[in-house]
Amino acid sequence: MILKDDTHLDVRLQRRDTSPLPEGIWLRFQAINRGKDPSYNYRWQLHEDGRWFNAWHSGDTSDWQTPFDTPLPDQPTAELPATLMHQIREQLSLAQFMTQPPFQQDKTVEDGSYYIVTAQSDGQTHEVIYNAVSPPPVPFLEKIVHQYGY
Amino acid sequence: MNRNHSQTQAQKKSPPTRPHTAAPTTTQLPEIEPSAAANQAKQFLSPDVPNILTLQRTMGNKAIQRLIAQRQSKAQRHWMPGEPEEVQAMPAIQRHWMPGEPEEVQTKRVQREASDDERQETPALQRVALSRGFGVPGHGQHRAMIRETVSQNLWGNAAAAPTIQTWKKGVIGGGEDTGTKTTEGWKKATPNAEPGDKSEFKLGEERTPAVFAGPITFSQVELPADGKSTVQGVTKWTPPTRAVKWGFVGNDYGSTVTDTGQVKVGDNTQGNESVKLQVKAEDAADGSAFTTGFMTLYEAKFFQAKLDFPKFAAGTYSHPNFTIGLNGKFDMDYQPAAHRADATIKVKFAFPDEDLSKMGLGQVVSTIISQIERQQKFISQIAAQWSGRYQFKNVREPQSIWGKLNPVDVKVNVIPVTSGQHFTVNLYSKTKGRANVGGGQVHMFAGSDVPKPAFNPGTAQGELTRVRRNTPTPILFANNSADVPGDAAAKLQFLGTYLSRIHNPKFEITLVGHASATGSKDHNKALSDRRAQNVTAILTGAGAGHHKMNASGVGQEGADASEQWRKVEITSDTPPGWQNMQDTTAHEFGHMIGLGDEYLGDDPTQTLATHHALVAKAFGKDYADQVAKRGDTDYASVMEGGDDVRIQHYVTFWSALAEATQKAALPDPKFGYDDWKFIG
Repeated sequence: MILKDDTHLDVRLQRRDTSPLPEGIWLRFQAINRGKDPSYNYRWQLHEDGRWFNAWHSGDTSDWQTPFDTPLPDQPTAELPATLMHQIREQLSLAQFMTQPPFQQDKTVEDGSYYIVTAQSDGQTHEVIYNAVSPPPVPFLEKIVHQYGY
Repeated sequence: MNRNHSQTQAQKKSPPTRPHTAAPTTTQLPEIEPSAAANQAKQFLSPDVPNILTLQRTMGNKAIQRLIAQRQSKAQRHWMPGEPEEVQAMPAIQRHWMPGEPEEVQTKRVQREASDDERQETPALQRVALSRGFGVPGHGQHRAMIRETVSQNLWGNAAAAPTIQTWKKGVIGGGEDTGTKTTEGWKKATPNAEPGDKSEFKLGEERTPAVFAGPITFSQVELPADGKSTVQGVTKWTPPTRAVKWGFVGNDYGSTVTDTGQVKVGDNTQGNESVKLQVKAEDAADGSAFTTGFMTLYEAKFFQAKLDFPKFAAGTYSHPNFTIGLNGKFDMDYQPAAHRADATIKVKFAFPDEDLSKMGLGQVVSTIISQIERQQKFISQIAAQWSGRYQFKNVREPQSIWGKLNPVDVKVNVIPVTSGQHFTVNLYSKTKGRANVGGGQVHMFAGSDVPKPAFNPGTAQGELTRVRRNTPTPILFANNSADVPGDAAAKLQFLGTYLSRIHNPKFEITLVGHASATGSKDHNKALSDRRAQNVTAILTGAGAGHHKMNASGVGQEGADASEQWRKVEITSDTPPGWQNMQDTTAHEFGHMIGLGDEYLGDDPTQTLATHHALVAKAFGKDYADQVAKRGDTDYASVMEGGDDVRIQHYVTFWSALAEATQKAALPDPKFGYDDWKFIG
């Protein structure tokens, strides 16, 4: 399930990647700065075969309201090992991701990140927007970029 | 050498100097008896007139006057070898001094002569007497006595002559602590006393006047002019059982006094913070026998402030764990005596992506050193950006009292602690991320500590947009006038205030004056210059002087005769090459002290920054709408996208100061938000 009416959200969330996940792509992860600096924004897509495509923001701060200004690469950034793939599936399952509320937030946090996780399972697509919160599976997924994204 | 002895007032007041190398000594005079005092007076008189008292007794005052007049005329041409020129310029009697006189006494004499107009008018011999030890601290009463005694006898002042009897008896003999009160308190005339009357005037002879009174004393001499306070006046009369009539000398300020001397103070200080009320008690049977006393009436607010101030100033006013905004938390400690308000944030540092237990010893050491350095950098970055940027002032009336609290410096302290912290600050060395503050946790990622140059380049245009929308242009003038119309002046004042609070960027403001094409070109050029200058003066007068102002007039160039050319046009620009800089550490610290983002973030419906209400409270809604609304233009405020800590960012410190002092027992009424304003 994708949040249909997002007009009440930050314009940067409205501009997140909501394109349908193509066949064979299992997971999409987007990290957007809630502050004005988009430099560390990134997004990645994970194919079922382990190919991992990651794109960092260019660092150009002239348009801070557009969260991503670079396309995903044509070639995979990394091939995630099978064990990690298994762990990711396990984390999503443990977190009962497919039934999580589509919008979760902590209104007391200033700055920080928006995380958007989109997954396909059994023909269903589910998206969750995390606004300044990072419950499971977010912390686990966030580590992937630190391990393979630099 | 100039021997012209005509004196100007300035010459009189020039302190005479003379060569003197003896070490300063302090002259201690013993308590003196009446007869001894008289002898001492003689001793201290000028050697030029050694027998003056004897002369007085044998010749009478008129003869002495003639003698003195003769001596004066001779003395005009007398000087001491080696005396400086300014001393030469004085009459000899006036500048006379005693050999061996300690320098300290000389200095005191000189200071008295230079500063006391009344004494400048005092005959020279009096001053000689004053200089000879009677000016020593602690001997004021003796000095006063001798002055009167000598002067009246020498100069035969008929009006004041009767006073002599009183002084002789009351002061010399009694040795009472006198001062000015004494002057009033012993003012009893002895009937039939005349100057020059040898039978009546024998210095040193003790006489008992018919009536005399001590000064009026009050249990309290400083009172609020509240129209209700009362105080009892007390006098001592000799003989003691006189009937006394009470009243006032001069203005009573609405005060009344009963037949028994109970004074009820008035309530009208006529706009003064304090006034002197002179109470008089006179002998009911003989009005020439009287005494007076003073009390000071203070305007009621002033009186209360005068009582409260020293107690308040001696205290420290704290508000520990002051919480404000979404995440703000700090201690506020205000010390009035130090003119200082300390905002202290206790921080426990953590380093989540550095596990020392998995490191070798060498790496542990280098990592710990690195942690200390990063911790110190975090602290110093905040201090540099936030501490001491603006001050507060107390505006409570009367400012002659409460203004002494000003200014109040604001010091921002970040103190590392291991427990009891306001925040845990997580400093990541490797992990990249998005800095944030929430729930008592601060996360600063790799690179968060590095200010970003050329950040949000649209900020320059955003700043200009804000300035331009607050710029009233063109300013239109009346025919042949350079006076800025009132409504335009108010708008210019707002613009000037707005600009005054922006330190980065510094704008270039161009003001071009025009004139309509009527009248001569020269006249119109001058008129247009004045118009531009007058507009500029309002802006700079409002504090915008740190921005570059280019003011000029072009006269009637390009103009026709229509009134639309009687104007000043204002344009603004950012300086060439100006770049916005973002400082994440300073920004996150803003959240730590309770400020919110000034850009539109997660909730587009929240168009006001969380501190908007406080800014409006401090500076008014119009200003708050310019600087604390979200979703406006980019601008260089540290809580938007820049690094400029602006005056509105001290609102939480202001709030903490107001709350801390509001809890204080004093003053009455207690301080509130309205009593504290910003400087800067």
